Amino acid sequence: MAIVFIPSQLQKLTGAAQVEIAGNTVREVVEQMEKQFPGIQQRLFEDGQLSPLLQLSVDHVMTRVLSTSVESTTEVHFLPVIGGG
Amino acid sequence: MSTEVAPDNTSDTEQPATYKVIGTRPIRHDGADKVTGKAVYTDDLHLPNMVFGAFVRSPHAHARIVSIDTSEAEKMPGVLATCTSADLPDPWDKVDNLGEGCVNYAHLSGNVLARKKALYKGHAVAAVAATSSHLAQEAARHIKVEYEPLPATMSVLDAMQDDAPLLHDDLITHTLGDEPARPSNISSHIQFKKGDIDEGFAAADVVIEREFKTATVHQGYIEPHVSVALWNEDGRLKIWTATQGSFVVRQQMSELLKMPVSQITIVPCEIGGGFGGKISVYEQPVAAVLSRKCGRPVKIMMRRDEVFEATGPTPGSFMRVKLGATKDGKLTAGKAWLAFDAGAFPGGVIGPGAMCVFSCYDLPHATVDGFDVVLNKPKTQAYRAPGSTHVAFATECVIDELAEQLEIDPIEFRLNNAAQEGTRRVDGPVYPRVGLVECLQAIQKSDHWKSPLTGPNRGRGVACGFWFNCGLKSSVAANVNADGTVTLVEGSTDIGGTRTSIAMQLAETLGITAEDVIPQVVDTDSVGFTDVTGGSRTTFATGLAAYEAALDIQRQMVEQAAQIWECSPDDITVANGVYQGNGRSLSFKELAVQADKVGKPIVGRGAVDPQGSTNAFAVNLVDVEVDPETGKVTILRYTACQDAGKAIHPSYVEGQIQGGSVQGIGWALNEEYFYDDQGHMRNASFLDYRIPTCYDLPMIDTIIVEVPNPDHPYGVRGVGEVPIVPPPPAIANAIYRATGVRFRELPMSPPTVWNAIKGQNTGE
Repeated sequence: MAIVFIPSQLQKLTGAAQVEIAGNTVREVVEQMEKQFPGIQQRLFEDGQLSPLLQLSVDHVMTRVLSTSVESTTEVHFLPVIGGG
Repeated sequence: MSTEVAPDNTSDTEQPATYKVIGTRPIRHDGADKVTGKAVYTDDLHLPNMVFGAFVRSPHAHARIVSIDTSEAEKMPGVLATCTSADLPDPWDKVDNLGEGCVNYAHLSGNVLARKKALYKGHAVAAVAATSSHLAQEAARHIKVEYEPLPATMSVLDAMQDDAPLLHDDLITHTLGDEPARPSNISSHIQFKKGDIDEGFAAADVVIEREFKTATVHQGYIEPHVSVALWNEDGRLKIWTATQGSFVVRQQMSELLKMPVSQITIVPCEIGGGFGGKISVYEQPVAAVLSRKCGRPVKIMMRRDEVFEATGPTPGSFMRVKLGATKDGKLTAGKAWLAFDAGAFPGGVIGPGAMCVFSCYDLPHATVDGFDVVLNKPKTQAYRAPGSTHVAFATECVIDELAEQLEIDPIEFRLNNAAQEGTRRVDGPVYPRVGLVECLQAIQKSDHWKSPLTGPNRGRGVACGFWFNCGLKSSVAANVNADGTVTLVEGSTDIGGTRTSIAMQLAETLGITAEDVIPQVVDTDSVGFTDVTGGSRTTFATGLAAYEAALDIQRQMVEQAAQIWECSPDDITVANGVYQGNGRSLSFKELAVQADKVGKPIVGRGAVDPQGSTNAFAVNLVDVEVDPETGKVTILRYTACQDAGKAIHPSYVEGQIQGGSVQGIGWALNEEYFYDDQGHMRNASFLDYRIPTCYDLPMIDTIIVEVPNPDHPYGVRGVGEVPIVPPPPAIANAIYRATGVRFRELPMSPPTVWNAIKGQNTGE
């Protein structure tokens, strides 16, 4: 289970800014989310992986690792990738 | 002057640790080579039979390429090869993450050598290799290119109009939601929402909304882009180059030339500055193709005008920021509309810009809309905290105006709203322990803040800044030598003294001196994958790899000591580099000497991929004097405060803070690309593109705050980027107090300031 913060441009698919989704990892959460809100995964994934234009924030940790474990209080955010100088 | 301060509100777990190496200031390992001119930069290389490459570049800001005829150049004596986009493999529309941002290889290939269209003045169209650089330049003039000029679009707002000339006929705006059917110059739209902004602004007693513009500026590194490529007859490619990331160059070369990474070796030479501008490839693929075609090593070094016109500056921008606050100085809501130019290809820095615009404050309600817009300028790239300087200029100026209207001290107003542990950013994540409050408090306590500023035409300004910092992949190997020194092999190119800051972490962990570590930056065949030196990550992440390598060495040393002393490893204790067991004791060095005689070689390895941001905050305080007759702004006093987490080598932290501040001052006061109505840059030299020098500035005083990063064994956060963020708004706020005029466009150059003062005096 995780608390997924839905990007504002996808909220018309979910009808909510945050949803609680079952799953033990980020990938499981996204797959479950697709079952509940069809079409959302294709907006976030590309060829089965996170879109290269996106990164995850799992609680306050930025990552692209879909096997990252989640718990009932874990927050999952989808954010633009960032680069530095 | 430099001051290091521990925060007032340190928790028990944050009490400053006592170190022997960390926090000291040893002489940098590459210091002798650098100050005696013996350090080897790429242009120092002269390989046998080496020839020289030169580019043919578009004289038009936007044009269709009708034909390219290289035959006349190829007939010239001494000309060995020519190259156009036809010599590059067909590009694929693949988007790849380079660790520090992503790249579309079709766009990258089209930027390296233009295909159907030239998209900006200076866009490379062809290249030639010849036996001398002068001959190559001359031969380039004999390559005939026929163009069909097209209308150009040069400003971000113009490029967003429905009737603007399209750069890419197939560019559809990318959003996470519904995408438009028609192509445009808007390549992406990002949106964040938090709370209910209508409710937030309704609760405000004061609401201020302002518009801001910033000019295109360049990183201004002294060393131009330069590479030497050698395509061997066995099919292997070797490139010596000035880069922030040798492995990322290898990755890009592999994709652009469609050859396996194992066939490519990148040798990173010393680098004369990068600041985000030396991550993308430009001349490297062209030098490689020319080398393949002529069978000789090829060197290409850009001229300064080529660096300005055809590498990756940071974007110009248009921003609209609205903030509301209550009478008692509490922010209630924020709204931002941001449009950044990406240059000729999609993928600018709007993402981090949108994420940073309100990142210093605890805003209960906010929306942010950000747009990435292509136009007829060179493809933009990162520049220290990319995107954050732009948005800080907008937000921090509005914050200052709010504080003034509410008659609240500007630092108190910021303290009242500062982001801290538990604050949810507008883009969603919640901050862990961060040090903005401590930085503001350190400025409040500084001699600078406590010293009144007097005199006519003078003013004082303050501003905050934020940058994420990052982790990413790093690898090191550490070999214990027979004399007890350690050779540290690393993949992070050293731009700002990271050889030493990484070596110090290895030394601290092993209990030896920094001088007993011999750091070496090596090529891509000689160490594990390492991401770029950028994102303020190197001292943090590669330092973490060095820490792991040290623990690995320590474990092996314990085994060796147990073998020598004929006891169990469990009976060995290690403290401060002294190994004790079975009633005996040896220092690291003594044990290394003995271990070399009896045991197997000791080689430590560290390979890490730390996730997450280390979250850097900075606060700047500046005093200025404005000459009302010329509009020239003189910096009288400057104090830059930053949370470094832990300053491994305080001199390098101070150097990063001072260097970043000076770049921010240049951005604020002078630097800009001047384009004429044809889209031609008219100041593509350091004579006309005005970077501040030591003659323009006072000493930049630094205050290092140390709120340890809980995710690093020594508390490192990284320091290289956030120093550039606060200077433009801090200076704008100071100029306002000196002149009574609020400036909302960068740069605040003498003509701009003079005109505004004149307008104020004449009522124009």
